[in-house]
Amino acid sequence: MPPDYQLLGHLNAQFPCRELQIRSLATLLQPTAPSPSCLVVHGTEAVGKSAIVQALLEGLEIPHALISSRECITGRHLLEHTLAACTTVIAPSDPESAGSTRCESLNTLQVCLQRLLQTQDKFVLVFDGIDRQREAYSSLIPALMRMGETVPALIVLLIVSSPSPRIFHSTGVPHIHFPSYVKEELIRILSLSPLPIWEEPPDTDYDPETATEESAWVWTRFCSAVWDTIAKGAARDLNSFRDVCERLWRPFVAPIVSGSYGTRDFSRLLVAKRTLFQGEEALINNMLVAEESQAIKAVEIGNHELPYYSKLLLCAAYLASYNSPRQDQIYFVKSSDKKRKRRGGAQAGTKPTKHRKIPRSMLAPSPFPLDRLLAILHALTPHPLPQTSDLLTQLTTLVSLRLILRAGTSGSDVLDGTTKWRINCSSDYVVALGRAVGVEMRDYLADN
Amino acid sequence: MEHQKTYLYAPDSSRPTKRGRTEAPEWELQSSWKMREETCHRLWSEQQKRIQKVLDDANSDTLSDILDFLEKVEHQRQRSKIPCGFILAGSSVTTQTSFFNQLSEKVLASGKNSFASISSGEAPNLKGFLKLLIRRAIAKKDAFDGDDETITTKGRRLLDYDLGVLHEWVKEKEIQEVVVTFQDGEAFDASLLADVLELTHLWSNRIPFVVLIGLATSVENLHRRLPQSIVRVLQGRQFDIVQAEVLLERLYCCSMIDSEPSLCIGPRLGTAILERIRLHTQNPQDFVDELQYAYMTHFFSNGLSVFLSEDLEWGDWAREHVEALRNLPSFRRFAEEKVKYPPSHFSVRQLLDRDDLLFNWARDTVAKSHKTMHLMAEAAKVVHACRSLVGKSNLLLSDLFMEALSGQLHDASHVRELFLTIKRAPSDQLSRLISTLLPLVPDEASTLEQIQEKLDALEAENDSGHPLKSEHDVQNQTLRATVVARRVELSKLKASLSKADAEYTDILLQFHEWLEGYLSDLLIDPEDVLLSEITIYDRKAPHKLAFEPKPRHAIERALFAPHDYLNCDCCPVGTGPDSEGTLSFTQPPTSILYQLHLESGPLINVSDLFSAFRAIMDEEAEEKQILYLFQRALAELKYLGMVKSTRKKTDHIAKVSWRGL
Repeated sequence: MPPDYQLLGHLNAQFPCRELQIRSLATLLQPTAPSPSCLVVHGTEAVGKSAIVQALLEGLEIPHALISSRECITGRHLLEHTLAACTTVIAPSDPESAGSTRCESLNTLQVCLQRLLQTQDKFVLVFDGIDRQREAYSSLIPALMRMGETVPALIVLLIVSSPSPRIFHSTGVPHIHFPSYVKEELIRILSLSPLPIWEEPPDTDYDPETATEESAWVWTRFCSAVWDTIAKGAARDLNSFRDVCERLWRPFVAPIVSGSYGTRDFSRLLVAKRTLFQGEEALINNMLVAEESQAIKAVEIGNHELPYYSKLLLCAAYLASYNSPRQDQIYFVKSSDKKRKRRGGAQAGTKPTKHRKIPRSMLAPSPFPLDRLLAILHALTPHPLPQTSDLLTQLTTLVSLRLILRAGTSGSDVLDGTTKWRINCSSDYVVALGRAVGVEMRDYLADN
Repeated sequence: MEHQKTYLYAPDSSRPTKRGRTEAPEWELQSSWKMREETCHRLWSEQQKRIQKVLDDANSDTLSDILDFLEKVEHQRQRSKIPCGFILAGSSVTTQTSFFNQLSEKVLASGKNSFASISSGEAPNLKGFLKLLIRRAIAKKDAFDGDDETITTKGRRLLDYDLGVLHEWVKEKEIQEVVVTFQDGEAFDASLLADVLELTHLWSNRIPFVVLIGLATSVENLHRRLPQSIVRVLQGRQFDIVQAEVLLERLYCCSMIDSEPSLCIGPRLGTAILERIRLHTQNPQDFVDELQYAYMTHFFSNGLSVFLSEDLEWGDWAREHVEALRNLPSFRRFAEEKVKYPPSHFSVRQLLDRDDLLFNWARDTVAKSHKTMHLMAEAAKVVHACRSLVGKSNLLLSDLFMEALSGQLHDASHVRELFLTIKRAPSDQLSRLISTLLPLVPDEASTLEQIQEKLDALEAENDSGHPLKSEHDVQNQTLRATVVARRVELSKLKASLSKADAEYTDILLQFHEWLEGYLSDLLIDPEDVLLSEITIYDRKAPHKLAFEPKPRHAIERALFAPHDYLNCDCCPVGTGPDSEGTLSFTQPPTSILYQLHLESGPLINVSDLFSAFRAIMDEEAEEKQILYLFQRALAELKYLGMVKSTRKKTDHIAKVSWRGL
């Protein structure tokens, strides 16, 4: 039976470049024809899976319920949520029935669904992102897939990111793949909603229609340029590609707004603004709103800082994590004469060792006992430091800020003398801290 | 007891052998204790009020910024973004907590918002977090008393961690914003934080969430920990709450300088307190605690502090106090000084003979001493104001005041430098100086006003457009090099000064002279101030003991000299210089073993250790019993982290720590 061409045309206009997927889904879910009891839609992030499924179901006017696993905290939450959603779709006039039923297990859900769907001839239950469900039962996905076999009217549609027969425990399930968009498709999609060049109507030669037209023309070429330079390697999905484009758009068209370039001088503009495409700043997501972050940079002098001894403690912890205990004597014993052998094997005449080890700074930080940390701290401080509870308090503060971690199982006894600790911050941060308190970390690190 | 990690120590009612005094002896300074206690409470509560006001006002700017942000955020909400405020609050937990409490009050005040503040310790996992979030946001407890984990709203039964509960409630009450606050953002598990942010993002189209995250270090640190997908949806703004050091300075100024404090913290203690807080904790609350402790110690330990009470009357209690007064070093110096001049013999004699006269004299002198301290604070403020006006603000007012208290401010090099700079000041700077100083020095206003008038008159005549210059300004001088007999001579030449400039220099010198006289009058050594023993408290030792305990040291000392703590009869009470550290079998076994381990090298042979231990123990004891004791003692040392087993050598243990770690 042919699918409804009008609907397909509408959907294709709404979601370009997905004709094949829309057509297969529409065929499989046709209201008048029998459908498979289970269906899997898969594809990576931002390829239109959920949106298309939802739009199609609404268009076909099949009763359905969409359950997003990301909103469900536990497996039980998912089940309760599913039942509630089905009830609201099928019997909205009778909320009491939903209120009185509990749904603590898959069995209950099945029984409830059987009762609910007795009168229905087709009902689609969509589980979005079910493979990412938190605290899921191991049997959750296989059980949901088979639920359509026992409940006649039910079609279960699973949306997952990558299908694997292992998670389904069954074969022969129809899969519909949503492939990632390629360059042409991405640009076509983005061209549907071009950003305007002028934020307010331009005062000069462009009337509104021409302005929109010109914007669209520049935008399409701009998107293509962004893809070829930056996004191809680092922002390949629709969302991040769009983010990068939007971030670069304003600085890119600034010369057009100011009037120094015309809209059709695209290639010249591209050359003039080439630095935008050479840097990687556009790829970095910033949590602070752009103009805000610059204002803050200016007043950053008065930053909140850790107390002096906390900084020293962090430096000591870093050294304890990244130096091996055997080298402590070389670096920290003050009485040894000044000609320290820095950088281990740098003596003349020795040939480089054959087996090359990964430098410690590239490995994960190693755990150290508390007494070693305190010993290094004493060696770092330029003046005698009495061992007061203040130091231990600061250590606790640093642990609660997760700058230092307790290694090993978190539940172990704090009073246990053998508890080990580990640094949890980057070398740049520690080196900057060290400079602030007058400790040059490079002098003490075994390899860098 | 052995199977518990900690236990509650319940002392039996019998008093310990080392008796403390329980009742006040009648003849001693103790008799005024009641009065002193009252005075202490009264003075401290005044001080506390001032401090509390500063603490309350400290973050008003940031608070209003955040409230403003919350108000506007509704209109600026971008598609699929969570509005988010990063509050940089420093590492001190107390500051954070009090700040968030204030914030919560303000946010809830409008009645259209809901506020849920959660700290990391309360919510170990996502489920717990959401439960707490919903409970706090709704701020209603009775809705959760139902049977199990479900809540029924409008006929729908929802789990108590389902944000749908919150959704229903928001719809019903027409709440404009639900503010979710992570009090200590860094202390949260990064994955939990990411999960919660993801959920708020998903629900933000139904529930108007705003997220506030308290941070101790920087936004970058958080940025590194969160996954990119979360970072992408945050639309953040940064807020700073006032830094601990700034607040500390404000607290010090309000408690010591701005008001007329009845008890002054001396320079040594003051420096120690400020330094400890700056270097170690950065917690302004610590300052309040230490100040209160200073009040308590002073009034408790110093009987004469009773003279700080305002409504003091001559009574029986006073006799011993007056006698103690006569023994004060500052009084003695005063008396000796007076005796040198015959005319004042009589008055000194009277003070020494007549108690009631001395009593009245002391009350007046304490008041005078207060006045002196106040003027000294005023002088420190003048120096500070001058320094900041001539563009040097590297010294804090608290530092300057402490220098003044130690009697060193007047001769300090930076003050000399200040005078030189003032001598070169142009006229506009001088008039600014005078107008700043006028409100600071009410007693000297007339002199300053005269100078100001003259200056104004002179400036009115000056129509050159430039400020008048001082004769001592280096810019007026040029260096000229002349070659005389093959030698280069450098000579300074003064540019010709106009008549107005010369007149201005006169005025400037007048001001300079006044300032010099003013400062040298006020900045005297507080040790010379009569009865400064009563008005200044400057003892570091009690504070050290109370605020900087040394747990490790205490354990080591107890193990090293158990007799000091046990006070038993069995252990020999040594009376020589080398009485300490004598080993005897009556001491606790752990203590013996500890002392033995101190004497040995980094690797200890256990067998040798045991033979040394056996040699000390009671000869009559059984070998087996000694072995038990030895093993237990060794286990305890291991638990305390003094020794550990080693694989370097068989039958050896390694010494882990050194004394005083």
